[in-house]
Amino acid sequence: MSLTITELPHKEQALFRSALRLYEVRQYKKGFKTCEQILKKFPNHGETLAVKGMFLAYLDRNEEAYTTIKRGIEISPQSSISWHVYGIVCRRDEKFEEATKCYEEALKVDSENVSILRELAQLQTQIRQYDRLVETRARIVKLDGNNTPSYWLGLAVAHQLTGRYDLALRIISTHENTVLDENSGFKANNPDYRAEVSELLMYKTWLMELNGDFQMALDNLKEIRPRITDVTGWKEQKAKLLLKLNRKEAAASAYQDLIERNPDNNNYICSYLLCNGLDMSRPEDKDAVLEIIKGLQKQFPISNTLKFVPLTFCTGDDFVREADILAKYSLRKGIPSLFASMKTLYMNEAKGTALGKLFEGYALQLRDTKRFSDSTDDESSLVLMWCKLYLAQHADYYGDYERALKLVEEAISTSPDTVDLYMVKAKVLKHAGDIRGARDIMDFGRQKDLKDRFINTKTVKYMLRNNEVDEAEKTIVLLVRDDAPHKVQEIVDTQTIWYMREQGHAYRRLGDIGRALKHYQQVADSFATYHNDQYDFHSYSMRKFTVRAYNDILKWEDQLFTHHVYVDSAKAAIDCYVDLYDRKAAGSPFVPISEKPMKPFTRNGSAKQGQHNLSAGLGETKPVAVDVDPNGSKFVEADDYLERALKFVEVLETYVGSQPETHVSAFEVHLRMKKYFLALKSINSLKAIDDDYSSLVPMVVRMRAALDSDETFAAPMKAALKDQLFKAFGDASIESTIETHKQSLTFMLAGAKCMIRLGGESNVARAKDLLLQAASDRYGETRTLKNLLAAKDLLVEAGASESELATYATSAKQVFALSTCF
Amino acid sequence: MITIRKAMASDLMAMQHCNLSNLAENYQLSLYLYFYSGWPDVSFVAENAQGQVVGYVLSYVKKEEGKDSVGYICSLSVIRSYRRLGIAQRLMGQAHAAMVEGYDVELSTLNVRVSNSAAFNLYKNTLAYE
Ligand SMILES: CC(C)(COP(=O)(O)OP(=O)(O)OC[C@H]1O[C@@H](n2cnc3c(N)ncnc32)[C@H](O)[C@@H]1OP(=O)(O)O)[C@@H](O)C(=O)NCCC(=O)NCCS
Repeated sequence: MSLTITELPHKEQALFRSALRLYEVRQYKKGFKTCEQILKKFPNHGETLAVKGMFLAYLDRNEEAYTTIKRGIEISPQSSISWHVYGIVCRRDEKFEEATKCYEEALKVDSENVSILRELAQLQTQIRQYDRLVETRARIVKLDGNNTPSYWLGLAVAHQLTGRYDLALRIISTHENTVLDENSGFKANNPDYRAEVSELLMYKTWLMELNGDFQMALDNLKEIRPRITDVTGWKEQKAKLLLKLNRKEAAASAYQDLIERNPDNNNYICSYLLCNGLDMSRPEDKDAVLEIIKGLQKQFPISNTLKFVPLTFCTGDDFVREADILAKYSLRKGIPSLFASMKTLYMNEAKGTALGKLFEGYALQLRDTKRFSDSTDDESSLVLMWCKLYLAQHADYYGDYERALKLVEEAISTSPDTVDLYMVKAKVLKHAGDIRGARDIMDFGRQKDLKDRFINTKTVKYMLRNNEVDEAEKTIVLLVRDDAPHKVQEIVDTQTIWYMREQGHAYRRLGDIGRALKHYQQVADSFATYHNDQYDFHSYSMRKFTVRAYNDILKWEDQLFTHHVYVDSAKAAIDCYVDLYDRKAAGSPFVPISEKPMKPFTRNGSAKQGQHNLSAGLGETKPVAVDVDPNGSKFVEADDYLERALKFVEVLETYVGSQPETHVSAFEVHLRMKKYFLALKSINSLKAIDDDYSSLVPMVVRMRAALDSDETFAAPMKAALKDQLFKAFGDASIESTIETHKQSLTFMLAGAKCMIRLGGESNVARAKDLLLQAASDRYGETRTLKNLLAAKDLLVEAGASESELATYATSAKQVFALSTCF
Repeated sequence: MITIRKAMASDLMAMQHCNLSNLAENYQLSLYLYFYSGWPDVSFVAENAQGQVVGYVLSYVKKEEGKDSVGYICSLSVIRSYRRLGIAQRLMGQAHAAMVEGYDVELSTLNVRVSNSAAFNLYKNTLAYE
């Protein structure tokens, strides 16, 4: 930082400089004291105040930090130090936009400060201001007399990010000799020299490809080969370019080469076929494709992928023949994942049926003769066992849970120590609605292989599905490394997002909205961290030259919030806030639950078969000092539920606006905020995605009702909105949409939910009537476990009596005979 | 159907998830990012037909001036229902080849608990580690 501290006497100037040095070596306390020393004599020295503020921030006294810095800036608004310091603190708090502005201010007075420019470049990348990034990077290169590679590479990347591949290439060509010339001095004492050169050259070729100069890229690729360390990457790019140039023969041999190096890569295989003018998904190519695959199979007998590929495109008898080969091979080898790999084939109904028949046939042959019909050797009894396991999963897939259980039981009786069998059994029970039984079986399997972390993890998940939050915590804590100081915190620190989400859902089912929100927020915080993680790479990757990987990181970050764990948790958090808001509005606000809720279920007998002692490990866990809000009261006691919900809504709208449920969530929040135009926008967005979506008409009906009952809203606007609704939906009503979809439980649920939300005795009564019928035959396949459980929840919400709930449970049990969850 | 391929940035969260489900040594995502951006070509994943990551190997290379490069396997695991298919062996094979070809690695090392018989056998018998 360049100083404008001339107002100070010599001694204080020296102190000031030493304070800045102390910042660089992270001696924040000392730095703070040094500033105090200066301020004792010159309490109104702006820059010292600003720097003191920065130290305060690093000492975690944020509020004071900002007021102190702001005072400093007020006193000396022309100081680049003050603005720089402000920028640093904003950046530290991940306020990247504000930080960017501060850095821009700092540069107004200190326009040639390279370190400020570099930090600004990082910030501009972080907030995707790529056009400005180009300017900043160009300034850095201009000011730099040393041809520093990370600077000009940074500029090239900036050009590339704005789509100017030609300019990026020009920058590299101008400067690359600094790096490529072995005598330039860049090589000396650089152990990573080879890898860095390789990365630079590969990046350059990629730019040519992006620029559409395929031939040039290919020629270049050949030239640089001796200096490349990423050999696979080089070969992949060569093959890809040859294919793009339509040089099919050469491309084919390039892919052949890649397949030799890795015969288990589906992409190589598909591209190889493409070089031969063939496409697996074209039925007319089938015979030719099969011939080629057979040839490859002979060359690469170890490839599992090549064994499987024919099943994806063969049909009819061909399919059965190929499936037969793979199935027998897998059954004999005892591969537990056989069904998992076949499962995608079930999308094609005929294939699912054929596989069922095939395995049924095996089971009979093996039972009666111990052999496959085409073999003269007896098979081990395990082959029949694996066959039964397959058939169990097959039956499970088609919803025949009783048969699935019978088959898996038979398999267990042959091989009672095979843990995989219990995992399948637990899964079947889960599908059948016996959540408690599923958890018990999974735990039983776990006892058989306590050291395996995978089955432990699964058990924790099943415990949470069964709402056993305490037991789940006790169990997962056993998996945390021994030297972690705070075991529960360690689970958060290691970003175990699946666990946070499942905990949130479990607490929500238990009615503990505070704890639910706490865990959903943990998910959101983890994603915020993921998002910020990229920051360092805006400079690190330039120094490492790994800019292809860096581009990949940016691309991933740009769609980070589409991750299903985030989306699901965000939607649940929105629901929770809306729920908190409604309860408060209804005069019965939710009160944080201080004691952990009681376990709703006791375990039944089967789990006790396996002895285990969970409390043993627990003694060592230290209390979690960091958890200042164990029951999530911070969320419950907030007074801005809807604003908090809106934050999640905005993320969902930005990243997953193509998903219908995004707009359903958004609508709920906008409507309660009385932002009717936004609510209408949500309706329209949903309609544009799917004009026959189950929640659509219910949203329209609730919007109308909300407008009618809002007396403070200006009449002309009200009329305009209603007019728009009428134009788009006429007088669509809940009853009419339920009637047009009378076989869909999903529509009925959306309608009933709407009536409950509308309130009023007759609406709620009607909703209850409908819901009590949820399990009736008319709803056919739409009576999924999830839908029937949703009906139960809505019945509770509608105030159904004990006996009504019991009646409903009986009817639901007719659909899910084994269920224990109604 | 399992595909073995080079890891990409969009795989890192899935690798982290896989690691958390399988092993006791866990890392924050920033470490995965750091390895990926430092050594983008030596980590691999196994992907099933649904596009889920069912196994991974996370590796890196250290080179000191004047000495041989050393390749490190930071973490390797395969989710339970996909084990004994040779996935780990294939992942290690790819990582090892990438390190030898690209970085002249003379030696690659890893830490395995001897009590971990699956991993121990894998390294010793199939991959000839010592
Ligand atoms: C260790 C692990 C990665 C092996 O994955 P995998 O894909 O099942 O291994 P492979 O199928 O490639 O096995 C290759 C060879 O390793 C050995 N092996 C693998 N699992 C074994 C086991 N459970 N018992 C004994 N040997 C085993 C065998 O020699 C096997 O060859 P074979 O199947 O022809 O007999 C996997 O079990 C795992 O993720 N375990 C938990 C995590 C872990 O321990 N990671 C390693 C720590 S660094």
